[in-house]
Amino acid sequence: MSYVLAAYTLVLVTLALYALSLEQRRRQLRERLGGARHGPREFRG
Amino acid sequence: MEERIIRSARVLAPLSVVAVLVWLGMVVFVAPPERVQGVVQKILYVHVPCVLPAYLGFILTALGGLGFLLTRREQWDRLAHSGAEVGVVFCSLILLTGPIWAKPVWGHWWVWDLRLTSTLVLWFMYVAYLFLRAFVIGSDPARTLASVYGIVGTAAIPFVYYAVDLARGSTLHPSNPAREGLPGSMAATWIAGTLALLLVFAYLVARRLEIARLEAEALEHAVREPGI
Amino acid sequence: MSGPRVAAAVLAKDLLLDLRSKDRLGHMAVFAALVVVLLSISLPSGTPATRVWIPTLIWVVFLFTSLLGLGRSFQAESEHGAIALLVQAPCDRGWVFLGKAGANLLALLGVEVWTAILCTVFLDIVWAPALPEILGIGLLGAVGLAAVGTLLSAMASSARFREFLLPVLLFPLVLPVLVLASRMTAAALGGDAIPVGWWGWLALYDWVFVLISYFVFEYVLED
Repeated sequence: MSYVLAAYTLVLVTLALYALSLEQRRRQLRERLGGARHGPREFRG
Repeated sequence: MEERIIRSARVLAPLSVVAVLVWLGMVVFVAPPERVQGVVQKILYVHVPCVLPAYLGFILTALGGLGFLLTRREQWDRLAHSGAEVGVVFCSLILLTGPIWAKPVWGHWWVWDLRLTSTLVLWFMYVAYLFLRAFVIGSDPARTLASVYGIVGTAAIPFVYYAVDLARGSTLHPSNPAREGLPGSMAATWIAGTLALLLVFAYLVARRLEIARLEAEALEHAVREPGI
Repeated sequence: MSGPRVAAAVLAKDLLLDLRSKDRLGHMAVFAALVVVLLSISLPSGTPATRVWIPTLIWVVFLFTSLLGLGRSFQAESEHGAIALLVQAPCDRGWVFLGKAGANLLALLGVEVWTAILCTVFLDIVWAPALPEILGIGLLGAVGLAAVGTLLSAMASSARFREFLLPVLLFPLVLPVLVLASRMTAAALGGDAIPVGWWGWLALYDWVFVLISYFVFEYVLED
């Protein structure tokens, strides 16, 4: 039973952490570019 | 096309959350405990669904590389890189959940199952690809060489599969029961898991792609207006 | 200058370089001898259990020795800024690849012969009864390794951590050669017939990767 929990926890936590780190990186980049782009725009061109 | 993929993340995020919840619910309540292995068998519903995303990631890497070599448009390379990064995560999960399942069932951490072993070699190809990108000097050469490696790696896959089968196929290890026709509730749970992780995969690729795109933009701005 | 002539020129130049400086070949020879001796001393002698592993070990020795040589495949060009000259060759870059890979192939064949001699001396391997098969396996194995090795060596030549990168790139791709060649060698030495399928797959591997490398080499030379 603990093996089952270990497997599922591993997968869910890994994917969640990865998603969160992507999200953080994305926010950082958008902030940085927000100024350089002369105003916030959702998408380029 | 890149825009559409990036935009789809907004839809994919809630969709994947729902799909994951449904899948987990089915694992707990719908999937029956198996006769021989007991509750441990339920690892199947998290181990096998990782496979499609892992291989899809590699396909994206290969196709993205091919697209880049043919068109020289960096969109394709960004797709390849995103596919590789997300793919290697899922590939690693297969290699970790496999042993977690194998140990209680068969007593060994590692089993020389054809699929698991081929996945291990695939993992090394992913890692090689990512190291190549990291160590080649200059971003254009890095993209080109990575694209080439993606293509050559893909060509090697059928040979690797054959070789692993040849080398390890004869050992009397119990084969993964995943392919031997599951009864209804098991199949449904397995499909739910595959669907859920595919959606998560798509979401992660979309986000990673956006990051790659933003990084490229940031580089452009730095070049045009140094100091900002 | 036509393609084949460029290839021949590249091959001749590399061959001459190898034979004159004796660095690459010499280092590979010493390395192979070192590893075979290491193995023959530390392996328990003569039990059937150990003997089963020996064909695979021989091919692993060959692989690591080749790595040494392949890693230096583009060293001369890289050091003297001559990669640009290769790029300017007035033909399909693929011919340059064939010339380079050809030179590597000859070097690898030399290593194979040397390793075979070492195995006879130190590991009591008797090659004669299965000689035709052994020659065939040796040739096919060397061609596959030379093709993929030359391509990847070119890719890694200007990268950081080249000595680490090349094996990391190479090993997953060359696994089929290792497996097939080992199994075929084991069968040949054991007096068993080698299934036609094994010959077929190894030959197919060679064909596919020589072709792919030929076509893809121009992208690799760009940097």
